[in-house]
Amino acid sequence: MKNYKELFTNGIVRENPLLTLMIGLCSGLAITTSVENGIGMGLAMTFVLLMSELIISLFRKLIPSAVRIPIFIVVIASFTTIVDLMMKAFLPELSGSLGVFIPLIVVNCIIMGRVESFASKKPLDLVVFDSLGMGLGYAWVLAGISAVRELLGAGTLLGFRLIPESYTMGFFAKSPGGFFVFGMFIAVNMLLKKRLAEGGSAQ
Amino acid sequence: MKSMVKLSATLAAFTVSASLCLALVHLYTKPYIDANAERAQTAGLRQIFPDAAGFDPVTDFPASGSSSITFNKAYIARSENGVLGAVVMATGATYKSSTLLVGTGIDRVLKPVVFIENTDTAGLGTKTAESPFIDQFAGKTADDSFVLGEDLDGISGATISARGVSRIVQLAAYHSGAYLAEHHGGKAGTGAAPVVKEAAPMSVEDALADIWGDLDTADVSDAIENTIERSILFDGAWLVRDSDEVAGVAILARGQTYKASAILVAVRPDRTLAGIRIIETTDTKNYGYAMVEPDFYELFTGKPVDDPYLVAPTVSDGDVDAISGATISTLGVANMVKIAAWEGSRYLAENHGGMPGADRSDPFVLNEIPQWE
Repeated sequence: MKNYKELFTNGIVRENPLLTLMIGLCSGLAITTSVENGIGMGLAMTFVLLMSELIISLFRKLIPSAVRIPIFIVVIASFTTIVDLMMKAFLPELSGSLGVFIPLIVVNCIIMGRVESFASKKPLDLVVFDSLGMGLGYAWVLAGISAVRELLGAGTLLGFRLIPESYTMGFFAKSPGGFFVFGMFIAVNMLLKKRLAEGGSAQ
Repeated sequence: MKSMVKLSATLAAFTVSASLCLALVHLYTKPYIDANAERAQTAGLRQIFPDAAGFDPVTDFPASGSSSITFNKAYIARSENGVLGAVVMATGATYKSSTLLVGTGIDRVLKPVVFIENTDTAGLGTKTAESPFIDQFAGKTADDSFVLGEDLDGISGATISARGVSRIVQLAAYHSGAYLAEHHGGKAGTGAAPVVKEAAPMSVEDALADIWGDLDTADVSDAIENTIERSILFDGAWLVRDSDEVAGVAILARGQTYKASAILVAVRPDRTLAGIRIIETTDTKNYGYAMVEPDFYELFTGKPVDDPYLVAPTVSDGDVDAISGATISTLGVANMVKIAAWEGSRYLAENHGGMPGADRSDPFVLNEIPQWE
């Protein structure tokens, strides 16, 4: 039981894909201009990660190592396409604002990395917790970065205006602002990790 | 061999099952995706004619008559009492390309223009889809001139996009007006269809005809040579006569611009330019290539041969304005024009009674084209 919890929090804080492993940054910085985008992208990514890890863990004994990479890619690409089509059909506006970054989930290093290093070697139950942890770890960082950027850059949160337009800072809506907020999040995550480690050793 | 079969079979099994899944998802989502696209388009149409009871697709709408602008779809907007106007979905070259919905009322007055797609540079060309530029079109009539700087305000830094969009709107509005007049008793228009000048290099024959009309030309290539600057090559010269009178001389000069260009420079006996035309250029599309736009080369028409031909802002009080984003191209053009014009005038003065130039005690100052490693 403790193992599951550890796996789950592993992705959320200690080995957070964005803040610690620093992979999958392009999409993370490009679409985090509104909270809606951040959450949408985070969930889409979590879905693809979960489903790909599941399928690959399920069939891991049948996948010959020589052709594992093409098979991983086929599986990941299929789930990405499914998410893309579903979003286009049922969330056309979100799909429009995420644009090319949904199809680009295929080449997101987080998924390929987890599939190769974890799902292809571990049983199903562990994989579920790992993928949810990694996926939600990605999602919360995206949602967090986009909340800061949307609030300071556009003065709104989920579309509701909180700061009058003349007091907003365009810097945060543009790429340099993205890098800046991202850096701040790394710092906060370092602090969290330190606290966690201290807590762990105190027990 | 056995392992190869096994590997192929495994890979095939995965791809086939993945394809099956995708086909199912595609079948399931397609009606929704189509409906969404339809809704987005109808929303655009509704923005243009909010009071319309319905929109009927038109199948016999005329073609645009321009190679750079296509009319994709056309609709007639109708209310209970009759036809309100027409909407055309048109795609045309802007900086890259733009797709617009252009609505024209039965009275030939334009409705708000709605963007469907814009692939121009974000923050510059995409400003054509924003206020205040896009708001200028509603209320214009299909017979207006649609010239930036006259009846439309351009966008600083995005002239090519702005000009492209206004051309698309003008052409779509004109054809909508004509179609409404012909088929639905719309107000008739004045004037001919707008000609979208496809800015492109022209042949020497076309350039001569464009500058001089149908005057007689005689080849005098051997009589004129470049004595000033060896890097610029004279590739032909033509003496132009209006019956017995010498109207001028035209010289084809080749030289470095951003890459390389060939320019026909036409001089009159009174030491002014009759005009220049771009015959060839390999400069970058949308930058140096913009020299083929009449807005640029027509600036030289009537310019005195003895002007300094220095390019602003490289020279602070320069008399030739650089093409935005293409200073090096402009430097090259200015040098070619200056040398060809000067040699042409000298030829006219020595052989055909043209106005002689003042004695040049000063050295022949050209624009310095920066060289890179």
